Formats: sequence, C-alpha cells, structure tokens
Amino acid sequence: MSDKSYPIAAEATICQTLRCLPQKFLVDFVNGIEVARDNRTIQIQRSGSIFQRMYDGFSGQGTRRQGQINDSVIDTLDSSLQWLNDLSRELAQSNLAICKVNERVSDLVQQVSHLADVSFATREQLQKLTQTLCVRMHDMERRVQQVEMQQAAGIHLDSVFAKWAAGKFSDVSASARYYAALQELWWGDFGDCFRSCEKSRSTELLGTLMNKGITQLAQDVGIRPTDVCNTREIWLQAPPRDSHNDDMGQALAWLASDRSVDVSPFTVCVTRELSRQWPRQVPLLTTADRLVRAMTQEVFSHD
Amino acid sequence: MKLEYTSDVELLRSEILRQMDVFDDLLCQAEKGNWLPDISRQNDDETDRSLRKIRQSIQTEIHRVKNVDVVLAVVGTMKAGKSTSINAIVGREVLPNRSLPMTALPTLVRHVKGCQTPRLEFKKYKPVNELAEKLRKKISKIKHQKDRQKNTGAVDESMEELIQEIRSGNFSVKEKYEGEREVFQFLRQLNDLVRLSVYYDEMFPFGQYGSMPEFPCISVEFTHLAEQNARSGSFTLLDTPGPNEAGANSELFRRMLRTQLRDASAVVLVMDYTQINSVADQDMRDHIDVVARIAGDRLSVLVNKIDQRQRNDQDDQALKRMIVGLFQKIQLAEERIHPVSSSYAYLSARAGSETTAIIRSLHAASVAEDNAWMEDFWKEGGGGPVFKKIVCDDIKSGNEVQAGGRIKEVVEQLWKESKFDEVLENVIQRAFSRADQIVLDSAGAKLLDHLEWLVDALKPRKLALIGKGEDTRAIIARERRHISSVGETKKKMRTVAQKKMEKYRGELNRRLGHFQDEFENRVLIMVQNRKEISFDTEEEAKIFLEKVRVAAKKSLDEVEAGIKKMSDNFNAEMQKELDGSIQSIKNLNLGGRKGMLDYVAPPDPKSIKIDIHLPPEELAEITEKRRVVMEEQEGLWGGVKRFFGSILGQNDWGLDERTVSDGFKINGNNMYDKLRDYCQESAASINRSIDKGLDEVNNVISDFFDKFDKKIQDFVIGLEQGLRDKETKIKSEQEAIVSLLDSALGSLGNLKTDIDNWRKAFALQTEVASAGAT
Repeated sequence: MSDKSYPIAAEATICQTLRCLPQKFLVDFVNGIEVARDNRTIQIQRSGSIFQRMYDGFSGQGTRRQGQINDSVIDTLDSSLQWLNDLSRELAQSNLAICKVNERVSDLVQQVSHLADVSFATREQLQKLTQTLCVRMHDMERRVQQVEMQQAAGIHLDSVFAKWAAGKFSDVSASARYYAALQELWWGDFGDCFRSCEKSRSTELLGTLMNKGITQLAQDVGIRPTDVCNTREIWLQAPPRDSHNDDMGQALAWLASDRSVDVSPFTVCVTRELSRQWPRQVPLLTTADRLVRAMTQEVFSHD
Repeated sequence: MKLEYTSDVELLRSEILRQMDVFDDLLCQAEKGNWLPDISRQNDDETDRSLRKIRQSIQTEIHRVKNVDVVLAVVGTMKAGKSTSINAIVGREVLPNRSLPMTALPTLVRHVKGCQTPRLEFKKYKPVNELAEKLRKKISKIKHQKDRQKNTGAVDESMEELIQEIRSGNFSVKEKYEGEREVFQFLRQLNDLVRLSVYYDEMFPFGQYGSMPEFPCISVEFTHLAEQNARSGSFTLLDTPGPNEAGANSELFRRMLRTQLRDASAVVLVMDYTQINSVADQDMRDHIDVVARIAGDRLSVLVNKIDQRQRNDQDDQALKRMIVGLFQKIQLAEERIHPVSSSYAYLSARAGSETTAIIRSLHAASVAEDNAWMEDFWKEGGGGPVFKKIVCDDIKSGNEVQAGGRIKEVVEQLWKESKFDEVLENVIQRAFSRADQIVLDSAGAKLLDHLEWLVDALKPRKLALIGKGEDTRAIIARERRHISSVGETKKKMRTVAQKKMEKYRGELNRRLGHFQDEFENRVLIMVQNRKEISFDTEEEAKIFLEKVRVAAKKSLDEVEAGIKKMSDNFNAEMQKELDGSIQSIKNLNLGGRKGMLDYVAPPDPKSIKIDIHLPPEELAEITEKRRVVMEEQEGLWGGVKRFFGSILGQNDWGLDERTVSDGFKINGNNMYDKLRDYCQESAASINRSIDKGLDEVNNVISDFFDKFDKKIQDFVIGLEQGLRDKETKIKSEQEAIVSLLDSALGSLGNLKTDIDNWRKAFALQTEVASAGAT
C-alpha cells in the first residue's frame, strides 16, 4: 500500500519500474524555476502530487520539516540551480531530458543577462550548468551518428516489454500499461532514436512498437488482437483498488498532466478518472489494434 | 470474440451515436472549410449527395436511434384471453374483455408516462361513419325487431343499443375519446359494428386500414412501466385480430395480419392453456403456423389461464416441451414460452393501484357494476368471502391500514402466481432489443456509406495537390476513357442479361405450359364433366377431396422444383457474367487504386424467388343428399285412408312424406372451376414473381454500373479541383489544404475503423440474440 504523502526517492520501486519518472521530474523542475521568483506557483500547484513526493524524495529532505525545506530550496534561485546541476548529472539519462533542460537553461541565461541585480553565484551556477549540458549534448550528437543508438533503441524496446510481460505494470488497467510503456520508450533510448532518425526508420520503429503493444495488450486481456471489447469495462478497467499500489496510477496521471482532451483524448481517458464526460473521440467499443494506434500517435507526435 | 462484452445494445447505441456525432462534426467542418470540390458542393440534384443532405440524413438517424419506437404485436388463439393479457401488461382495463371474437380493427395501446386518463385517437374515422350510414339505410328498411332478428340472430344488449343508435341516425364515430368509459364504449361499438356489417352483408372497410397510424390508438400510462426511467421513443402494444377471428374475410385478414406482424418489433401469441389438448384441431394449428411463419424469431408465447391448472396436470417444463412440439414452422426456444395467468396479473395490477377504491367499496358495502373486477379479486385472491370478511372486519374496527396491508399481501401473491414478471422482463425487453436492432443496423449502414463517400470525395483532391500537374491531367484523361469503358461494359452486360432472360423466360413458359397440361391430366380429370359426385358416406367424400388436393399439390411441387432448378442455373449464370464484368472493370485499375471497387457493393442477382400458393383448403362443400320417401301411416286410420285412396285414385292417402339421407355429394362443376382457377392463378403468380425477379436483376445491374460511373466521375471532379488549387493558389495555401485534407482523412480513417469494429460487435450481438431466439 502506498502512502500518498510518502516521498519517492530515485531508488524507489516506482522509479525503477517507470524510469521515465526522474526524466520528467527533471524537466518539470527546470521549467518551474523562474528568475522572477514566482517559481512557488508551480510548486504549490503540484503540492501533494507525485512531483511533490519526488521532490521530497530526491532532495533527501522528506524527513525534515516540510516548510523549512521548501523555503530553503525554492526561495533562492542559486540553490535551485545548484540542485539542478546535481540532478542533471545524476538523473538525466535521456537525450530528451537533456535537450529540454538545455532549452530551459538557455532561456534562463538569456533572462539573467538582462538583469542587473543577479548575484555572481547565480551567474556562475548557470555557467556551470551550461557547460555540463553542452558536454552531454555533444556526447548525444556523437551517439546519434552511430549505430549504437539504434541498437540501444531495440534493447530499450525489448526491456520495456519484458518488464510489462513480467507484470511490473499490472497495478493499472491494460490500456494504462501500454501508456506506461509508451512513456518509458518516449523518455529513453527508443524515443531518442525515434526523434533523431529518418522518417522511414522512425515509422519502422513505431510499427515494431505497435505490434508488440497489440500482442501484449491482447494477451493481458485474453483476447485476439482484432476482438472488439467494451472500452470502459475491459480496456480501462483497473485491478481492484485494495490489491494494488496506486503510485503507478498517480505517476501516469502526472506524466499525462499536460495533455488535453482535444489533442490527446485517449491519453486523458487512460490516465484520468473519467467522472465527467467521455472524450468524444474515444470509441466505447474498440480493439487492441485501434487503441494502440491512437495512443502511440498521441504520445509519439508529442513535441 | 468475447461475446459477453459486446452483447450490450445500450453500448452499441451509445457508440453509434458517438460516431454519428463525430461524423456530423466533420461534415460541419467540411462545409465551413470548403473541403470538397466546388462542383460537388454546388450540384444538388436528386442523385447527388451534398453535404447538407448527408447532414440531414445523419440527423434523422440520430433521432431514430435516440427515439426507438417499439411495437409489440399481440395475437391470440380463440378465446385465449388476449385482451386480458393486454390489460395485464398495461395494468388496467383498457380493452373490453368479451367472450365474442373481437373481429374489429387492430388497436394500438401506447405507454405514455404520466397519462393517467386513457385517451383514444382515431384519425381515420370517416370510413366507419360511411359504413354506419349504409347500415342505417339497410336497417331502416326492416320495420320490426322480429324481422331484424332474422338477419342478426339473437342480439345482445349492446348490439341492440348500437342498432337503435344507427337506426335513429345518432351513431357517429369521433376522432377522440377521453376517459376509460368512453374508450371502452367506443371499442365495444366498433366491435359490434363489424359483427353487424357481417349480418347485413355490408363489407367493413378493412382495406382502408393498412398501416399502424390509421388504427385507433389508446394512450395511457402502463402501470408496470411507470417506475422505469423514461427512455426516449415509444412503447406500443398492437392488439391484432387473429386469422381465426376473421370469418368470411379470412384472406383479407391474413394479409392484414402479415403486414402488422411484419412491422412489429416483437410478436406475442396468447394461447389458452385449457385448450392445449385440442391443438390437433386444424384451425388452431393453422393459426399457430401462420403466426409462427410471419413472426419467426420475434415470437414469444404466453400460455394463459394456468390458474385453471389441475393438480395432476403437467408441470411448466413438460408444458413448454409440448408447446415447442406444436410449432412446426419455426424452432421455438423453451425460454420463449411463458405459462401465465393474465387474469391474476390484471387483478393484481388493478387492485394494487386501486387499493383505496377497494376499501371505499367495502365501506359502501356494495360493488358497483363497473367494479365487477373487485368481486373477481375477492374470489381469486385466495380465501374468497372469508378473506373479504376479514378485511371488512378490519375496516369496521377502523383499522384501514391493516386492511390495506392484507390487500397488498394478496396483490403480491396474485402477481407472483401470475408469473407475469417473467413476461415483462423477457418479452418486453426482447421487443425493445429487436426494435433497437433494426434501427441500429440502418444507422450503421448509412453512416458507413456516407463516410466512404466523403473519403472518396477528399482523396483525389489531395492526390492532385501532391502530384505533378501533368500526371494528374493524364489520369483525368484516362479516367474519362474509363467512364466510357464502364458504359460499354454496362451495355454489354445488359445485352447478355437480356438474352439470358429471354432464354429463361422461354423455358419457363414451356414448363408452365407443361404444368397446366399435367394439372389437367392428373387433377382436373378427376372432376371433369361430373356435375355431381356422389358418395355413400361423408368420410368417403372427405377422402376424395384430400386425394384431389394431394394431386394438385404434387403437380405444383413438381413445377416448383423444376423452376427452382432453372432459376438457380439462371442465377449462377448471371453471377458468372457479372463477375466477369467486375473483373474487367477491376483490370482498368481505376485512378491507380484497385480498392475503388470495394466501395461499390457488388451486385447480387440472386433475387429471383418464386411465389407459390398452396391449393385452397376448401376445395368443395360436401352436402348431404336428401330423398323423400312415402311411408305408410301407422294404425287403423292409416289403413282406412289407403283403402279409400286406392278406390278413389288418391295414391298418397294414408301415406306420409319423409326425408331420408341418400348419401353425400360434391358439386363437380364448382370444384372443376375452383381447381382450374387455382391452376391458372398459380401459373400467373409464378409468372408475376419471375417478372418481379427479372426486374430486380435488371435494376441491380443498372444500379451497380450507375454507382460505379458516379464514383469515377466524383474522382475526376476531385482531381480537377486539386489541379485548380495547384494552378491558382500559392505554395503555402496548397500546403495548408493538403495538411487539412490529411487531418480530415486521418479522422475519417479512425472513424472508419470504429464503424467497422462497431459493425463487428453489432453482428455478434445479432448473432447472440438470434441464437437466444432458437
């Protein structure tokens, strides 16, 4: 059983199962840093969420008095940047995360350059960060040129599906399991390869991914890939509450928190409690094939 | 397939509504965003499907899916308690419950939530008034009641009342009746009027009442449905006169019955439990067969009056097995047979909703005539007078609550024993689901059709935009050649079809000629030139008639088998020719897309079906021959009369005339005429059905080629629009159109997948439903 307020550290099971979580955390964290000191907004909005629990877990401050930690970390830009530097070194494993952090840091450098009252320490932190990220980016470019990345993508794909087949995602509904796999792949080597390779190769990668997804989904539900099932009662049916850990559900909801129903109706349907209106684009009766195609399209056309 | 997950009609309904909603949204975008080629949008003639028309069609389908009208037709065998069963389903007495056969018009009883006072609407009332006027003229010619009774036989009070009203010119039917009493009175009078018209040989205008909107319709809240969540659409019972209520108009009634049952969502046949053992009776068997054949898998059976079951009678299971055995025309599942007591159900429903009235009547210590049902309630409700006394005592001692409680217990008990819960659950539910099926099927087919049209209209524009101009122009030129090529194939196919039809028709005429010869040699010869055919016993006459009937049937069976074989060959040959034509069109590789043909349904010329009439059931009337014999009067006086008679030349003196039976006879001439008419009518009917079949084959061929022709023309129009875009718009505008079309085609592609999946689930649901039916 999970405790909703219990901090999540890097070595927590959920972070081992969903390796994309720290990547997403890092990106959200850097996007939350605001020079104008209103970064509190983001953090307050995420209070109580998976982000907050990871924040507490990763900062190792979960055991201390919460108020103090927040104040000490958020209140100063310096300390935020310092922590980001550490986090980038420790957590950033995917090129996607590094690129996104790099984009945000470049923005911050731009903003800081226009301000007179920014401390030397802050400028130094930013400089350090830029350098670190630059090295990682170069490294990434080098990898892209090599066959290594394609192999890594294949290995990544196999490992994610092996994890699924081993029941690591079984706390959530069948369709949410596929969403978990998609997120893992998007944030990792598979996603990196997909984003950097030629269109024909990326189409091939997605084809392989979808075939695996359809097979695994059908197997999970115990049907044939072309069998039509009730979306709500089969594809979205989560295992009984008392027997599963809700961390996974919360983590997936957080991963999809920036998705809107207009653009990603399947993602919203799969990751959120649908107490209100059913997304109009999502069929009430569907096959593994259709579900997989739609979800893959929503995640992998995500910029 | 996972049967359990997709057998939910509600889910299918919600999903098709969702799909239609999404499609309507796309159509709206297409209209606003000018997705379609200009010509397609402007052309609005009969054959063209403009966006506006498609949107209208989709809106109509949405409305139909949301408002499914369910009609449950109820038919009864003789005195089976059909009206009581309808009253039991409604939960109140809306139909007169008479022991006379109700040879009246079919009547609709519609559930309208909140409608406590029944009201009847009879829009087409004028023909009935015209009949009444004709009857008035006839009745007024007969002065005395005694003479009138010669026509009508003994009349009951209500009939006498009606005769008086008609006679005095006071009788007229209105369009609307309000309240239980008025409705009741009207139905009774209508029934009497039908009987009266038979007596006075004045045809009731049944022919003018061909479809449901023309029947009288009673609106009232059904007690058992009152608590249910209002579902859109209506639920209506159709009180259907059965063929054995028809008397002289049997053929007309059968035709009416066929139409009514065909249009109903489900059919309930009410049978009389106490008459089950007399099912060998041909009338009853015929009736069951007629209903079963028309209703097919929509049929449920109520075996009514099980309250009259004796202790040693068979149990429900044995009863159901026996009933299954009665149905020869269809395989009826035991689950569709419901042993019930409609009178218990009716009494329970009525007493349940009018408990206060019962208590009030006990206060008054009398039961008004209108409340005769209360007496039945005391009688049937267990305990009879004893129970009534207990309740009376409660009331006398001021304990009305306790009295109400006792009545409620009996109400519940009666309901339980009526076994009507099962009927309401299964039969009504089945009616809903059948109605859903029809509506859903049509919605699914229309949606797919419209969607494919839109996809076809968008694709060529995009093709032209992303392709090279000169290539597109070349394709357009080639497609135009294809249009004329398809035209030629159509012409060729029609010529081939015409030749084959002529050959078929020649062969058919030969066979029909042969049939008529055979019929003459084998059947007509049996009665030819025999003015009167005599038999010693009635049994012998019956055997003879059966022999003729069998010979007639055999002749017909032979011609039917021959024509069927010939038609099958014709169908197969036509299919082969069409397959060849389709292949030649496929080889054209239209628009570079071989899949184009998939969008036009291939023609299916297997539409020739021959319509065979069975020989008439009554070939001739068997009449007894009577002979007058002179018999000597007994006694001395008789002897004296004969003696003087012989002296005076009066040979009949002392003798009495007596009529004695002299065997039985059949009028051979009449029978000959009847059989000859039958033979000619059979040949004509076969000819008619073949004509119809050949017409359909012609239509199918024309339809196929016309649709195909239209497809290629639409394709060319789309290409031309794309070409115009390419020539007149700047690059960024062209890219914007391509991106728009891509996104639209993507959405339509997803929707197409959803429709295909829905159709799969729907087919499965239908399969499950019909598996349940058999």
